[in-house]
Parts: sequence; structure tokens; C-alpha cells
Amino acid sequence: MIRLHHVTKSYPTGSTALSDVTLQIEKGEFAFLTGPSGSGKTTLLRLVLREELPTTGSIVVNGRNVATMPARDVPYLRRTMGVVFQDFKLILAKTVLENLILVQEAVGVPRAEHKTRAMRVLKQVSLQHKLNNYPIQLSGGEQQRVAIARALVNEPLILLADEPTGNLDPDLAEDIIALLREINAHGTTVLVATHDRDMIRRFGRKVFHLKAGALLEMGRAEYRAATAAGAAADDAES
Amino acid sequence: MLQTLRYFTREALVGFYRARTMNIVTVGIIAASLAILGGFLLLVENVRTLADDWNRVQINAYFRDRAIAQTPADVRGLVESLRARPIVREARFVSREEALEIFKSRFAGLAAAAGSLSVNPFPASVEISVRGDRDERAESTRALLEELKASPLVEMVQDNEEEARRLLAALRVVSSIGWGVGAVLSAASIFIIFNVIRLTVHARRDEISIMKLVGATGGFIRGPFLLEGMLQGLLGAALAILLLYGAHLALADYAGRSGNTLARLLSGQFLPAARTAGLAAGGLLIGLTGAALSLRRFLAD
Repeated sequence: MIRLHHVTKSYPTGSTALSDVTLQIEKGEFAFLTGPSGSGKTTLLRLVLREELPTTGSIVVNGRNVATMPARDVPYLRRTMGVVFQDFKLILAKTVLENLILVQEAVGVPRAEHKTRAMRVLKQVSLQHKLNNYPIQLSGGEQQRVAIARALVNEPLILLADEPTGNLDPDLAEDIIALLREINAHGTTVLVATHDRDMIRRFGRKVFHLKAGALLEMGRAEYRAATAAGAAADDAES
Repeated sequence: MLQTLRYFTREALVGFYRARTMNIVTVGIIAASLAILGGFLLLVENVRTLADDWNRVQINAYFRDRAIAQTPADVRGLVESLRARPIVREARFVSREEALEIFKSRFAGLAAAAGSLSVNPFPASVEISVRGDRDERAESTRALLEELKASPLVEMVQDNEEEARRLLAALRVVSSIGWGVGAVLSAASIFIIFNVIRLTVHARRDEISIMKLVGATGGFIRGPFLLEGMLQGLLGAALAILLLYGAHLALADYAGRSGNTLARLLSGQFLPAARTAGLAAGGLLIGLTGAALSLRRFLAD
């Protein structure tokens, strides 16, 4: 479903965000992308979304090479993905329902389906009673659940989450991860970028660990062992 | 498609309303620019009509009073022979009485003075308009003028060739100034719209980034901004046309009341439908160009 093959991303300033990264995430998998701040997690997600182009290497999403894809096809690639951010990025001037309708309008979902779809995903994130609230009237956890609902409303095949629990307290963070696992259980491929080690130790099955742009792929047991040994060094970096 | 249009319209109107003060100022500036351009067009249009009139009555040959009194058949014969010539489009005989009436109607202020004269001072004449372009007919016109001047029946010959030439040259200058000023003001309007749309794009940057990430096409994101620019341009043009029409009616009213010849000439007619539509299209184009340039600069894919 998502394949990166020897991907390197360097900038004209000379800095390298990713160095020869190769990874594969299969359809229906739930994977964590971890590493200290500045290790390249967000860059990797931006490359998958074709917000940036790799310097070398190929990125294949749903069988198509994102790096060589013509610009006119990029919107259609993005329609197969939902995105969740640490800072939610909800439109504050619009209600919860309007936020969910806006993204449906953007991809041409028929008007008659807007509310039905919005209600379905709001129910999924247990916020069906907040549809007429403005984001500012919601707690941080609720705002992130609205953001997840927005990412799901266009029925994406892949959900990308960039530090989705970064602004939340531990209990709410756990709720959000549980919600993402539930979404994954319904068949959506989920890739979560986070530097929350505790979260990964408890929930991580497939973990990609980035360190200074280079990748180590490991399972939960390996990650536990690796982070136990390298925690002090990582903490110092982050 | 209909859904997309509805979305564009709604978002454009919302965008317009959100920045209403700035948008009203923008519309005002576009209206002023187009009204100035339109004012020049209106002036040129009316002066051109005047020039066309001059073009038609090109030669006036004034008959000797003696010829009219003693040899009217010869005069009639001359007028008939003029009408038969291929170069002459029209040759109209104006009697002394008609000449007096024309004077009275054209110069209403002097009508009483003319009426008090014991004798009619106006000579009879023939008004000749010539076929073909000014350059084409130059040679044959000159020959005709010479012939008329040589006729014993004719006292004096006047032609408006020189005046018409001067008027047309002045018209070209006025027209060029109009287009020049219009172009400068239109460029200024485009620049203003460019900046207004830039501010709107900036105010909605979060929304735009979300739209891009969920897979909205570039056209879908640009649509409302382009429509907002077009709306500004069109409203500006509509206001300019209303202002011009108001000014035209006021001038016509003033001309009617005062009998001012210049006012009468300049308020002769309003812009033809094609010119008015052109002005509206110009407003639309100014809005569209300003918005498109702004999006190109500030809304990279």
C-alpha cells in the first residue's frame, strides 16, 4: 500500500531530512513512525502526501509512483488518504458539521450525502451531539476527534496522523490511539508519526524508527529492547 | 457541476462580505477607473458623430443673389447636374428662406435679432456631400471645387475638408489619451484586486491547506477567489456605467435648459450597447486578471 524505496530527501541548504529510507506498509496495517524531533517523521509523511518530492528514490502509494506522478493527479492521490495533525487544523469559523462538509465539497461528494456521512463519522468518534459546536467550544481531545472524523469522512484507504496525541494529556492520548486502532480494525491502513515512546511500547506492532533521517524497522519487542537501551540518547536529542 | 458553482458563488459572496470595507473601496476604484475611460469613450463617440455629420456636408456653394433672382433655371440646372455626378452622394438646395430658418433654429439666442432684419442676409446654397473615403475622393473633390468656384452662378465655395481633418486628428488625440488613462487606471485596479485577493488568500490559508490535503483540485480552490475578483470588477463596471448614464442624463438636461451648444453636442447620445457591454467585460477582465495574478503568486500548487 505504501512503499518507499531508497528515498533520500535533501535540501539546497545541505541538510538531509531522510537518508536512503526503504519501508513498506501493507494494506490494513497499523504502523508507527517514531524518532526524536527532527528525525524526519513529518518529512516522510509530506513525501507520501506529495507535499514534497524526494531527492532520490521512489514512493509508491496504491500502486502509483508518487514522485513521478503529474501534478494534475496529485489531488486524486490525496483523496485516498486522510490526514490528522497535532494542532488539529480545524477551521475555527466553521462548526463541526461545516468542517466536515467543507472537505466533502472539496472532493465533489454529492450534497445529499454530506450530512449523512458527517453524522456517520461523528458517531464513530462519539461526537454526534457536538455537530453544531464551533471548535473553540470543544476540548483538545474532542477537537482531535473532530479532526479524525474529518480525515475519515471521505472514506480514505490510508490514514496518516502526525503526532495526533502531541497536544493531549495521557488519558485523552490513549483514547485517540484506541480510536485509530478501531478505525484500522475496519480496514483502513494507519500510519501514526509520534515520539511518544510509551504509546508505542503499549500499542506498536510495526514500528519504523527514524534516527537522523535513517530508518530502523522493528517489532514491538525489538522496539522495547532498543528504546530501553537508547532512551537516554534519544531523550537528549529530542 | 451545479454543486461546484453553488460552492464557488457561496464562498465568493462570503469572501466579499468578510472583507466588505476593502471590497467596497476596490469596487469604487474600479468604478472610477472605468468611468473615466467610459467618459472619454462617450466624448469620442459624440465627437465622432459630429465628425460624421461634417463628413456628410462637405461642400457648400453659395449662389449669387442675382443668379437666384434672374436665372433660377440655370441654378436648378447646376444642382441637377451635380446630382448626376458619380462622386456626389447628395446635393441639397437650400433656399435663402431655409437658410434663415436654419440659422434661427441653430442659434436660438440670435433668432430675434435675425427676425428683426428688414432683408434676409443669407444666400441660397447647395450642400454637397461626396462619396468615398477622404483620401480616395481628394482628387475629384478638388476638381469639383475648382469647377464650382469658376461658375458665374456661384459667389463663394466653402469646404470643411480642413476642419474635418483637424477634428478627426483631435479626436484621435482625445481617444488616445482616453485609452492611455484608462489603461493606467485599469492596471492600478488590477494591482488593487491583486492585493485584496492576496489578503483573502492569506486570511483563508488554513482552509486552503486543508482543502489541498483532502484532494481538492487547483481549480476548485481557485474558483471562489476568481469569482470574487470578477464580482469586484463587474460591480465596479456596473457602478461606472450608472455614473456615466447619470452624467449623460444630467448633461442632456442642462443642454435642454441652457441651450449650450457644447453640452448639446456632448450629450447627443449615450454609449452604444456594444461599448457598454465592452465596459462591463473590461471590469470583469480587470477583476479576473487581478485575482488570477494574485493566485498565481500566492497560491502555489
